[in-house]
Amino acid sequence: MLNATTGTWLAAFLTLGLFSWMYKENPWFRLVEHIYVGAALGVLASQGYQSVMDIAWKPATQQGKTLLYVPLILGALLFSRWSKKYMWVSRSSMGFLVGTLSAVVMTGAIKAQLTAQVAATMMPLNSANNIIFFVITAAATMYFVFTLQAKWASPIMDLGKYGMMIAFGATFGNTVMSRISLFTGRLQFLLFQWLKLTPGGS
Amino acid sequence: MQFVKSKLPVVVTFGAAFIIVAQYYFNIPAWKTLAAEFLRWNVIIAAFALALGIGGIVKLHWGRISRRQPTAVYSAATLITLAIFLFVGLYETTRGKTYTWLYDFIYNPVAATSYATTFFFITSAAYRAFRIKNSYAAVLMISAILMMLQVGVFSVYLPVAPKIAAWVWNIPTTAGMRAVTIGAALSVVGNAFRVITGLERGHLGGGE
Repeated sequence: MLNATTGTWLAAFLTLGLFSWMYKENPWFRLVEHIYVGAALGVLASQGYQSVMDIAWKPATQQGKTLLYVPLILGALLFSRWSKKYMWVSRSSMGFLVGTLSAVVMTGAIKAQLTAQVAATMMPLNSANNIIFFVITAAATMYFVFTLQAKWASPIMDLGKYGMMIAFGATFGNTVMSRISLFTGRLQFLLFQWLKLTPGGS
Repeated sequence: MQFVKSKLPVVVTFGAAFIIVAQYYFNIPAWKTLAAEFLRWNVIIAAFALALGIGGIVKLHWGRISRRQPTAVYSAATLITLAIFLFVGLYETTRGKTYTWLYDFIYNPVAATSYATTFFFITSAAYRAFRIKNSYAAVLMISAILMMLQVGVFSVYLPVAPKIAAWVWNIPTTAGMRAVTIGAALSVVGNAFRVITGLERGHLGGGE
């Protein structure tokens, strides 16, 4: 029963259900929308369970890595959040989780987003492209210096705003194009895989 | 007890973060091993946090069903789909045949179609964004249109468009985004520092 043909029909039912929103919001769309939420949660839950089993439970119980019981206990303590009285029990687990994440994000941001980006902007100003690049980066960075209120800086900040508008516009244009290609992909699925029409009509 | 309730979580946050940050500055192998172990623990605890979140959603939908609200049928659809994916995922692992079928023919099509439908949202947003109110909006529009003109039939009728679009992407766009990245990085570092030092404690939650 769970073969490719049944799967294709089911996928077409779900795809058309989501596309039916283009007409107006309707029960078919809402049903598929809720199925999507359930499926996404199911995928996340299965993958989470799998990773806990592979990374922690099996090494702890079968290979004698007893230290891995610590994160398992810390993780289990998180469920105390469901009780108002014992919510405080989960604080240390949450602190560990957020502390490690903050450290990873902070070091990553300093390395990749700050020092690397600043270093890459320090280029020889020997071509028009390099000059334009440097000026736009410097001007747009200045726009984020909120403590600066000097009048002389205002035109530079304006230039920075134009630079950012170019960047936002280009990113927006690219996003639109990528969404169109996704939409085309779903139409191709409906026409060529489900209805089995031949591309080009031959 | 007060220490365990309010001080210990801050100490744990700072200690865990300190171990990970300090390994960049001190070349001590044992420290690096501990930091790697902490990152592994993070993945494990994050999986439990995920389960906590999923539990919250299940509670919400179960409440709608038990109160027989008009949307109960949709909540039932969510819970049934979740149960099927979870049961199959636990029974035959995420590498199993049935799970792969569910993933390929239910999850993948709806995920791709959801993103595809955002095309319509984005088009209506474009209409609003491109109404030229000032020179900034004009620059935004020209830049976006250049990007859209570089592909498909437009590039055939306007062969110079891809070259201009490539220049706009490589020089002013990269430069503008670099400034945004630097600004965002500064705020990320500042916020992470507040969390690590205990100035920001929202994540620890309320309760007694």
